[in-house]
Amino acid sequence: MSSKAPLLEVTGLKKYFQVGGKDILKAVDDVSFQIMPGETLGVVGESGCGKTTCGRTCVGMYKPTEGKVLYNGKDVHSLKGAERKAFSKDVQIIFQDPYASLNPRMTVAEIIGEGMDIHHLYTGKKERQERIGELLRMVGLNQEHANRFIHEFSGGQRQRIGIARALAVEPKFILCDEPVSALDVSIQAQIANLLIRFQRELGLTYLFIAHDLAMVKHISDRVAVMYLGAVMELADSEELYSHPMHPYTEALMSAIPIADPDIETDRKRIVLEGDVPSPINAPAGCKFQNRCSRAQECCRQKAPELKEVAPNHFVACHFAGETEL
Amino acid sequence: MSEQNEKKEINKNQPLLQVEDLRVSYYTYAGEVQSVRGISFDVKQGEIMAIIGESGCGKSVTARSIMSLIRKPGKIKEGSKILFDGKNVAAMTKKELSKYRGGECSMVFQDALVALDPTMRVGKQIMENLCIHGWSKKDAKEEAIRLLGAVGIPNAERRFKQYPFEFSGGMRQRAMIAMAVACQPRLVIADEPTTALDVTIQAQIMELLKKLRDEDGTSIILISHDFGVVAGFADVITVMYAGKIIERGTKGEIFYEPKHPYTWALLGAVPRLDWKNKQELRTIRGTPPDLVAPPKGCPFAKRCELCMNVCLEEEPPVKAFGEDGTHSAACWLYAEDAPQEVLEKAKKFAFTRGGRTNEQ
Repeated sequence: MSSKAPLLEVTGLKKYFQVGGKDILKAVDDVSFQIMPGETLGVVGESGCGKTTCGRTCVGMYKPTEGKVLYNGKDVHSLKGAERKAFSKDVQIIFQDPYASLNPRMTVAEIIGEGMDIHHLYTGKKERQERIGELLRMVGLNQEHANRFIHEFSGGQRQRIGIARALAVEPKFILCDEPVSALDVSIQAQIANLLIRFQRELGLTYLFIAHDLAMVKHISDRVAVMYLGAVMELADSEELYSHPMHPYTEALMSAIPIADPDIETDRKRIVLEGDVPSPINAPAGCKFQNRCSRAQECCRQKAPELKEVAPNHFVACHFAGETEL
Repeated sequence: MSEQNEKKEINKNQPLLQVEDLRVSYYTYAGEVQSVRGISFDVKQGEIMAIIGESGCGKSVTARSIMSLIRKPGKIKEGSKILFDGKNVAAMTKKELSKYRGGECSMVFQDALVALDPTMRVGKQIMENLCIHGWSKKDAKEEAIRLLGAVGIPNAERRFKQYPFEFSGGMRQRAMIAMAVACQPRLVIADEPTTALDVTIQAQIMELLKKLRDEDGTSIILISHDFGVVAGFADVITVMYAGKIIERGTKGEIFYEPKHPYTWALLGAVPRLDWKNKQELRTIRGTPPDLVAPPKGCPFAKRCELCMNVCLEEEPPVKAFGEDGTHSAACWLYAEDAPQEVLEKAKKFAFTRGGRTNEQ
């Protein structure tokens, strides 16, 4: 396979949920992007913007309402038999809540070994045990932890076990759904370093979802900003940070507190009015229109398309690129 | 009234709140958990003080102690002193306490959904506080609606009649702030007020709290684990670790001349937008100590890159830096006989301005 072909290709993805009778919640509304092998795509957005639903649809946990997800050129949602099994080995997930995503009645060895059992990744008991020990050492735990239960570990250690479980089946692609949000600052850094190291050493591809823009920027090569189910801006992470073009990205960026009092005092802060509208009845036209300072009549009429304004910099705004920010 | 005003004027530079040698323990089956182990600080009139630290360092317990909200199995130990405007909080009668809580000192909790009563209309919850402090029902209602408007809730009159579940997360937090400031307290304790909120909403809430101080001169204690939030907001910062204050100073001193290795590590652990991508973040090895059996020496010694023998044996003395004595840290590095080689190593680890260590 040439390195130019994307590992994951999402086109026109929509995922609607029916809630309370007739209401339709448009969690993901026409999202398209590609992820190249070995790359990290970050997805940021506030709660309820559809970032988790988007991630889960990409790895086949939800069936999309419309649109396609191609993994290595094959439609994820119509895989069958051996292909489906190979896909589930290739693609793993690290969840947000290490307390809820690990079975409290299984030992660490059972949790890590389960995937290896299913995919027959070892030849004998001894090899299985050795492999589990090796995985535990990779994530900074040791062999003795293998026979313990989850309640004996701290949050950071649990997240390490979650990572070891994901790595056990030698995946190519990992969906990281807010993997550090539930952890303390110093522990967040440990986990982030671990993820970056494994990407370098094992050539993994990540879809990294978080609400913490600084962390996403730190880990990702490219970042997509989501708002109410749609991608507002997609660009290289350095570029997105230095030249945000969408008014929502600007506001989001200016709201992030920086741990430096001088910068913090001098900064101009764009404080958005009001709350995120409900995705059940999102505003017509551009979804950001009712909170946007630059909204005009055309924004209320027509939703802007995600277009390439600068090389590799996509923005969904009618006025993108017109004014210098 | 004029007499009172005069008194306030004189007290301007006097601390509003003095905490001396506060010790709080929880008596559990596992043993005595020493959550707070002898901390002292004071908060001046109109000052914003931030307490920063990781989970389990005792910052919330400190806040609850000030409000006298410690319940069994927890206990404030003897010898601890909390003075609010010269009055001893521990010695207050029930009547004085109910005047003190909500009246002079109030609290904004982290999780507004848990802190608000789900079966009671939001307006009524705000009125409740006012009524306790001597307002008539009619006035209290008007005031509650005014307060809801003042904290930026649109359609205050309609919102007044709604229940907490009908509010969004940011609005609930606003309602909590309205409740906290209803009786114009002199001190507001905000315990991680924005941790559960999105960044854009966080910015709104922090602006609101700041306005409170700027307009009414209210003192604020902000409890947080986020250096970013603190940077734009606090005047004085207290860093806590394992139930102790390990460093204290003004905002500039803590951010630009931090002295304690734990503060260095914390500052280096948070990725910043202006740092290079995918560079190694500073981590702190291991985990915080178990406070059932707190370590003998410095609580951070086991995780510290610069640990010396003395650190494991004896508690470090608190050393003051600078002339005005606002900056102090508890670390053996600043003892007179600290070995030269450790000091050399410390230079490498010290967190310098510009965000990175000298290493890089």
